[in-house]
Amino acid sequence: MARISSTADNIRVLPMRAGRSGAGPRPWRRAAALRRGLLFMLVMVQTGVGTWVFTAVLPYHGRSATEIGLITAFTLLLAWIITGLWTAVFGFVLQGRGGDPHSLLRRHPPEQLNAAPPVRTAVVMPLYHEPVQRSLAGLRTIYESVADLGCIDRFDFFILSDSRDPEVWLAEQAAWQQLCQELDAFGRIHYRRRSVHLRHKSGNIGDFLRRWGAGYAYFMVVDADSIVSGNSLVRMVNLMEREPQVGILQTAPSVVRARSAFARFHQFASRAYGAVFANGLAALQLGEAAYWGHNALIRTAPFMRLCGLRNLPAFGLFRGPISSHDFVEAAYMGRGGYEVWLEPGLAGSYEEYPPTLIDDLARDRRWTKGNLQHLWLLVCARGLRPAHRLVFLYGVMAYFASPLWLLFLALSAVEVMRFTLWPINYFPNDYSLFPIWPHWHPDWAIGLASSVMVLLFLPKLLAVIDLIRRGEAHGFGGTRKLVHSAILESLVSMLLAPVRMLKHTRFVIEALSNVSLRWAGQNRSEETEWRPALLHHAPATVLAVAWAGFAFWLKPLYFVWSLPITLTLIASVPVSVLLSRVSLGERLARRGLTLIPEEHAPPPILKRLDELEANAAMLQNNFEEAVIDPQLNALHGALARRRTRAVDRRLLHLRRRCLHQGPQRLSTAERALLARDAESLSWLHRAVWRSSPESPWGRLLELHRRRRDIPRFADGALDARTRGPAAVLSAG
Amino acid sequence: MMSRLYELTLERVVDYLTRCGLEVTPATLERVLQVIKQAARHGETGLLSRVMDDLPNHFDLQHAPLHRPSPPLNRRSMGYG
Repeated sequence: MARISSTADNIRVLPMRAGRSGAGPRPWRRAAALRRGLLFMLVMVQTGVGTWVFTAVLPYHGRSATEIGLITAFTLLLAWIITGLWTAVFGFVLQGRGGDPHSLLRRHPPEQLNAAPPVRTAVVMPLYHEPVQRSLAGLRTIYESVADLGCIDRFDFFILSDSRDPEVWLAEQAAWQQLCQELDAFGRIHYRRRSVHLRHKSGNIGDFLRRWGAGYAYFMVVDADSIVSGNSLVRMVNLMEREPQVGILQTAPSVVRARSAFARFHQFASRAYGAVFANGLAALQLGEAAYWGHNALIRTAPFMRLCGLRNLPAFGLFRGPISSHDFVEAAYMGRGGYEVWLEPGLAGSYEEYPPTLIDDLARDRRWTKGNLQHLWLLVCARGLRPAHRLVFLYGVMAYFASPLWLLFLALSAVEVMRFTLWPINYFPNDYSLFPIWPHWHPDWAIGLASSVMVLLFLPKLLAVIDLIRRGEAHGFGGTRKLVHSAILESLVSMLLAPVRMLKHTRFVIEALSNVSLRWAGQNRSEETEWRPALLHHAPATVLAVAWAGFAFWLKPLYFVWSLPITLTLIASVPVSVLLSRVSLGERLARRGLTLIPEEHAPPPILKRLDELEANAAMLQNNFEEAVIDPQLNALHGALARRRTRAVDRRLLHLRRRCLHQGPQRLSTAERALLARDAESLSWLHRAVWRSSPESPWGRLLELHRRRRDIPRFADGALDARTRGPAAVLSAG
Repeated sequence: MMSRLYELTLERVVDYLTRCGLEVTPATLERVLQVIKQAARHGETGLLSRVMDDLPNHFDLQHAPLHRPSPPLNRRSMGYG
């Protein structure tokens, strides 16, 4: 094993703005300028042509306020769609040429990378009310994968909990100890729970950096549902060692392990189309890419120096902590002279997808607020690179496109109403001597709508062609199944698009009105039941029915045009429920649809994760176990707060209440208070084991004993040898 | 009635010892019964408490060594460029 030099020696910090004032412009900058210039030109020309055709399609050719609104919305949306299209085209072309010659990975042959000196790296997993067994199983697979390479000495692992519910964090603590025992990894896998929860995930990582960051040259953030293979991790560290100007190296994680139909469709889309999009994005961003918040390796020292996030100073949404920290941190790294790279060529990086539409939308709700906050930084932050400002804009448009689309639909309705309900206005402009004859070209409109559909689906088609030409279709069940899956996925995405439009519009309005959001862990396994689906999607359904009725009353042809949107909204409740079903996902997989290469030939790290999850015992009643179990009580007591002052009366009262009334009568906050206090845990443990069988804790002890299958002597389980002395005792 | 109390006490103690990681063999049971017997001499009231209090004197109830959950602090501050 190679000796690891002291960590401080390995933390090399570039001088501020090293990228700019260093050894002249780097070659990728020229390529980036050329590519972005080409993209800009293509988008402008194509959008210009599309807008011109659209203006010609409109009856007054843009001479009324409604039409100006329509043209504006159409232009922005078209530019957005075309940007996506050309990003995919860039990826398609580069994939065809065997990859991007400017990518980091192509700069160093493997032997040069392997010769990089060993440095200390931390793998950190921030948790907030996540499924404990799954999260720690993920961390364990990374640990084992690194250990298999013989490099474990260079890595430390940190579980950084922000969980507030004692049921969750007590389970985390127990699982941490078990993990360390099983891997003999005490001193290498660490657990830290913050008692003060500031700034969500970025605050949690900041807390880690302040305490221990100085000991590590690099750190990688993995989410509760993401994993990275040891090979990838070590390769990234070696790459960063060879490229000291790189501040963040982001992988493009593949979505895996989807079970519900909803998640399977997204998994397929991510895996089938992801390569083309990610390669296109990487080719355009080069050293000014974004950080996605996880599965990225970060150079610790510059990150600590440059990426502290101040609260936004303005008003409403633009006041307070930054919710979506990752884009901002990448921009600050860029501002400090460091490069941020997206490397889609780094395999072995995986994440999971929310299992249901409702969960996906809940995540979008948080992201909408975070991304819209970036508007402030886009305009007001000083010294950011233009490319990173564009990344902010890209993030804003990801959600702002929805209200634009809704506006477009609403103005279209107004336009139809004008021609149906009111007499034709030949003088839409004031002070005009000449009448304007409205021209309506339905054939042009159909042509334009078809062109937009082609623009929307062409990237997917390119991605499928790319997979077939690279001989990767067999991983998706063969060419025929790949095509069928892509068609099915496209239909499902069309089905969900109007639902997302309405929801995202709502999220944008909420964000702009600064409605506060609850920060929550993600549901990663449950299906959607009918009642929550109804509550969630009923407003959209009612709106769609009303809209359809109105459209039919207004003009039957308009009703027909509206059907793709109204029908999907009306069906949103059953669609949401059905897509959340695991059984439907399994049926798709059995028929060879939505398959991905990782299912066809699972990588060892995913196989191991499946194994670990299959064997994981359910952790439940963790507060009760923390009080009852002597080993766990000692563990939780050791990790709990040790008071320096005398115990207060409230805590004493709470202990007694817990003992006499049982834990169920206490609120979550009250249980948390007791579980945080070492003395209370010990006091309760002692008292509970001495409690009478009829008391609440006595009954709980009996219940837990039965669960553990310890024999009851009264049931005749006492063997002949001990029955004798027991009988003696009974007899006094 | 008395028989039930002893049975419950025995069950409780065996459960506790199992949770402490001790293997409950017939010999262990013999010792447990001795502890209960001794405690029973002082009457039924508080039998369970007396037995539980006396257990550490008869069994090695030491827990697995507890490890530090996190490394020693190495504090640095964040920069707010």
